[in-house]
Amino acid sequence: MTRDEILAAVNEVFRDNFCDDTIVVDEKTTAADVPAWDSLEHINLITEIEDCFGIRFKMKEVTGMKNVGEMLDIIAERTGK
Amino acid sequence: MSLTSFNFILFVFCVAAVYFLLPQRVKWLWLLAASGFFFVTACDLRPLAFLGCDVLIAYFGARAIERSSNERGRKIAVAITVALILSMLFVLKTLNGILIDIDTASRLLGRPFNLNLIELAAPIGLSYLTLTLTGYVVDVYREECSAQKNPLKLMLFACFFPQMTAGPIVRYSQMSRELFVPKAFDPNALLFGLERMLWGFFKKLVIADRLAISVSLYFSRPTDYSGLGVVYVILICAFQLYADFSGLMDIVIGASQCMRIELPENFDVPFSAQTVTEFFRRWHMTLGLWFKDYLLYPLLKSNPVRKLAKSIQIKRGAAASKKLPTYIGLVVVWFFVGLWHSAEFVDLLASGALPCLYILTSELFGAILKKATKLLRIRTDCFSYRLFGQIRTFALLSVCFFISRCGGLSQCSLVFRQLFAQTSVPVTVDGSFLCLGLFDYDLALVAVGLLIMLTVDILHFRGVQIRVNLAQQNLAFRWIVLMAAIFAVLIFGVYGPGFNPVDFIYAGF
Repeated sequence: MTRDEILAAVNEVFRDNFCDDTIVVDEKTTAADVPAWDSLEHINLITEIEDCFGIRFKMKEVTGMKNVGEMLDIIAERTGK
Repeated sequence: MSLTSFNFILFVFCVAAVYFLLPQRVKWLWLLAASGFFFVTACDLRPLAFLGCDVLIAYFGARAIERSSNERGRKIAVAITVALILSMLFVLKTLNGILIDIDTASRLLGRPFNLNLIELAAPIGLSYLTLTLTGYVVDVYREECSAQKNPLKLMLFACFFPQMTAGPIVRYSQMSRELFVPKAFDPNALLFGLERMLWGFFKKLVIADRLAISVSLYFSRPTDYSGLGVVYVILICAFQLYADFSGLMDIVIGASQCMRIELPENFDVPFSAQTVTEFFRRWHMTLGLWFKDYLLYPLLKSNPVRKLAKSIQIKRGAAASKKLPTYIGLVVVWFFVGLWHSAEFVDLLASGALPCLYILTSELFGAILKKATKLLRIRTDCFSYRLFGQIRTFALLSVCFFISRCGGLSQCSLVFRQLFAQTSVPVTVDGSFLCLGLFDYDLALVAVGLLIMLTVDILHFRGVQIRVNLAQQNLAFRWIVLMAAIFAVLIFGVYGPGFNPVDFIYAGF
């Protein structure tokens, strides 16, 4: 998967998780940019992304990632691309 | 040594002065000595053994985690270490609460057990220490930080004197930068620290301790008050707790700032919250973050919960598979939040069950409420709706705070019976229920104090940095403001001979 493909898949997970087809996230998107992205939705989102890509985030990554870009870095590293 | 005493101000000043005079490599040792002195003056020497024991368990546990060559060994080491640290809290604090619950239940059933409580002196702030050290051990396991090789440095991290009695709950990765990286003297930091402490003294001595007189009088004679009188006490209990706890945090954070050591904030204008969930993101923030990072997230990410979510997805669909595990997680977390406060029924109810019920209700009916507001064409993007949300949240949480002050199930049921009892008409009309042990002069001072406190909160909410703005003013104006604040605390504060200083509500947990 290229980074663009990962971002497209992550966008799908976001839309699915927040039940909102209008959501578009990019590398710089943070929790503050998505109104429903609170601490409870964060862990649901993480679980969905883990299931989507077949990876597991470490707990320090779950609590430490600052934006979608950092999430993409971890996914790219775990999926070997 | 009380945090509101003149001795404490003198102590902070002396510690800060010597701290900046000492060579860089021994600064942390000086802080450790000062923390030891503070601990000994705050409680006697016996609990020091428990405190030392807790730190040593965390020290050796973290080292064992780091030395383990395989994941299984690391998991066993972290499980044993955390269990030992938590068992100390359980034996010294939680167990007595459970014994009180059993005793209360046996009395209600008409067969009193008359259990004896365990008489062990727990160190002050044991509940905070437990969370701090547990967090450290788990962080080492998660490789978020390295294990500290010097047990004395770990002791300082766990018992740094301003925060040892009531938090904020700190993390090692953050505090190691603050405590062990040398800092040069900065007069502005010293002034900022003293200003923050002064603000804390104002909240505690002018507002909280004056309201404490009314609250104490009410709980000494709860049958004397009913209806509106009880509603009034419910309101002032909330303001007293906020002024007391946030004032304590201002003193603690300010004292640290004098030495250029930054502690995390614990409050972010909580009464501006429009929902209970938002309230707990703004109230006792470090406790909420701790439970989120070390209990809620690991629980929701654990294999059993994921398996449960998968089975729910098959039976009930995707939406339920997402919601139900979250609700289970919330119930578990709030149970432990309640237990952390105390195992007594009243505390479990006020600090755990009721907030959890509020949040679950809003999660369950949030969508329906949203549809209803749309259907009724109620505007949600205006001041009046936000104010409604703030008042509703404040009212709901005030009930929790009030219950937590009741001190027992029987007292709790009595005051709620009184709440719905008939209020005497003259008392309601002439407003005499407002006095509750205070003269008109005190009532006026409380009202002005609350107005100042809430105005400052609103300014913070709007992003105004008062101390930074003050620092940009001319020297004469700054000194006039500072002197006025000092004299306001000295003249209007509740202290001095004949007055028994009220302990901070959250201190010594």
